[in-house]
This record gives sequence, C-alpha cells and structure tokens, in this order.
Amino acid sequence: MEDSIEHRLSALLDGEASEFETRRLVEEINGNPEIKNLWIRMNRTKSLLTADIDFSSRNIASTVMEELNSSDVRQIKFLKDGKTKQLKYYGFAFGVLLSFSLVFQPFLTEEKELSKSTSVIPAMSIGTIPVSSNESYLKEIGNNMKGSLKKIEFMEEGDIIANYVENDSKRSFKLRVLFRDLSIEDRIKLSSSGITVHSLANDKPVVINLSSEEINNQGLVELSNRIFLNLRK
Amino acid sequence: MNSEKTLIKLSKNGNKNAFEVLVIKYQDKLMGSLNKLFKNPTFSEDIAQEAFIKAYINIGGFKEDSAFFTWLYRIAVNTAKNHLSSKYNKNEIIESEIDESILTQIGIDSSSPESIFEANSLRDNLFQCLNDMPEEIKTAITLREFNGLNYEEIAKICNCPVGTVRSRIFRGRKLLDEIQISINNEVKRNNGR
Repeated sequence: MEDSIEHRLSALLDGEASEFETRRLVEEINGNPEIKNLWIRMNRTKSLLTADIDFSSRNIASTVMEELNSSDVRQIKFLKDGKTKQLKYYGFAFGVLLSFSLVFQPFLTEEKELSKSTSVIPAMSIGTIPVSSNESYLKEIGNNMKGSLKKIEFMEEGDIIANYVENDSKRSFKLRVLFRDLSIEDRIKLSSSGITVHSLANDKPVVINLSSEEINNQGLVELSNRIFLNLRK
Repeated sequence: MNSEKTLIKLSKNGNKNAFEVLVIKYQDKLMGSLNKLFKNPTFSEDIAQEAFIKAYINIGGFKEDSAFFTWLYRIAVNTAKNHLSSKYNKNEIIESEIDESILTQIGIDSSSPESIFEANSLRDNLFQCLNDMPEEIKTAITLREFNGLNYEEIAKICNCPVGTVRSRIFRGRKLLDEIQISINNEVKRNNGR
C-alpha cells in the first residue's frame, strides 16, 4: 500500500524520499495549498526543535516565488566549461570595444580632474542579469588589469558595475558596462567620469566606462590597454 | 539519488516548483543563521529573500561540491555585505573587505519580544509533546533531529527495518504537527480579540 502524503513528506524532510517520490511530491506540494501548508509547518517544527530559528519568522517562499515567476527573471545557463557562448561573445565584443580606447588615447592625454561619480545608481534589480555578468569573467578582467574584483552590481536593464582594486597600488577603479544607448544627458554625465567608449555590439549599443577617484585618465587608458593587450593574446 | 539532489537537479532544469520546495525547506535555517549574525529579523528576511532569488538564477553554476545550504549561505552573506557597505557609506563606490564584526555592529537588534515569545512558547510545547511520545517514536525522532542520523543508521541502533524508522518518525511528526496547529489557532484567536 502506498504511504500517505504526510508519510512521504516526512521522508522528504529528511532527504530520504526516492527520486520518484520527490518528483511526485514537488507536484503535489505545488498543486495543493493544504499540502503546501503542511510542508511549511513540518519544516517550521523541525527548525524550532533544532533551534535553527529563534524568532517567529515570515514564510518568505511566496514572495520569492512571485519574484521568480515575474517574466524577466531567468536562470543563467552554465555550460560545462563554465562559460556560455554569449559570455564569449561579450568577451570578444568587450575586447574589440576597448581597442577603441587606444584610438582615443591621444585625445585623453590632457589631465582632467576626475569628478566624483554623481550618477544615481538605481536599485539593484536581479531580474535581468545578462549572462555576461558571470563573476569569473569579471575576475579575469580584473586579473588582466592586475587588479582584484571587489564587488559587482547588477543594475537595471542588464548593466553591470564592477569595482576593482589594483593589486600593487591598492588604488580602486570602477568598470561599467551598459548594454544600451544613453540619452544625451547621461552621455554628458558619463563623459565627466573617466574614459568612455560608445559602440555597437551585434547591432546593439554598448557603453563601456572606466573610472576612478584615484587614477587619472592617462592611468585609466593604460588600464584599458592592459585589458586589450591581454585579450588579444 | 537523495531527495535534495533530485530537487537541485529539477531546479537546474528550471523547475520552479522544485525550487520552492527547497526555499520552504531552508528559509528558516537561512533566516535563523543570518539573524544570529545581524540581530535584525527584518533585515535577515530581506537578505534571505534576495539570496534565494540569486540562488535560483545561478543554480546552474552550483557544482554540488558543498551542501546546498553552504552555497546558499555564502550568497546571503555576500548579499548582506553589499547592502551594508552601501548603507554604511552611501557615497562609497568601492567596497573594501568588510569584517564580520562590523556587520554585527551595523545590525540593530530588532527582534520583537512577541516574536521571540511566540517562537519560545511553540518550542516549549513541541518539546513537551516530544517527551510525552511513546519511547520508540521519541528515540527515532531524537536520533534523527538532534543526532542527524539517517534512517539506515537509526534502524541499526533500534534494531528494526528502515521502513519502521520511517513510519515512527512520521508518526512523531504528526503529533508535533497537531501541537503546532493548535498553537497557531490559539494565536489567531488571541489576535482576533
């Protein structure tokens, strides 16, 4: 005779349900609110007994699932070698774009006082993370620039802001990759912050900006050269 | 393949229902661990929520060389660090390495007495229920919940088939669930007054 649903949920709670039972339970939990509530209570009882939690917490699962079910949240697909085709594409596009900075180098020799970044950073949105946001790739860029990746922020519209620190000098710098075109106002704002390259990648606008409060523009150009030269290899 | 591996495999294939089962399984443990660090239940809940979303998005990169919870906890702590660094200094763009002691300094102990009382009251009742259980059920539950033994190990200790262990644990849980339902109903009645 088949075990009752409570019986099988109890086994699932202990990680002892078979693959077949687990697959069925996943459907049953999500298809029946009473079973879901039972699953929530069983987990709550376990947490209280084992002192995993010492306050009466909310059930956040419904909020999490609401967010996940919104149309713009998708999983990052990882290939076996850890990089996606799109990642490679963006890597290539990034290298090509940075080569433009070499062309612009003569125009950037004039020292400019670097103003603080005043652009308003929108609230973090994890709904539209592009595959190019892969952390290992950004770390690799940091290595090429002889720097360490300290923080990544995934912004609205798939933009990425990555903060690095130079290994030797400990000076910090910021890389922004914006996968969109900018308004004139935003272009002006960005132009006062480090070096910027506007271009197209696969017929879509891409803006790459390298800025720092501690490194002058000449230094930033040198940094971008380091990335470019390493990527060319 | 154990249940958790199946749930992870399904989640990696984009099965959100399977991921929800994992969220329910680990939400308390994650919020409890974060609250021990930050002493702020609301903050811990927000971070846990965000960590689960990030975990789903990135689950394809989870290599399963560590426990799912370990991986999830790491995501949550990094998320908290990012939040706190921007809160700590709104103009700071570069995040320096943040010492965990700073995190606890920033956290404000906002556990409400009601929230702690409610949890403690339920826990006391659950333990009372456990003590009153028939010996063989109490032993099976204790070995599972407090000693972390699997069914096979418990079966060896209790000298009974694995299926019997599974049934005893289930029966114990059913008793505990009845306690939780009655306490929840009492709380609802009191709140409704």
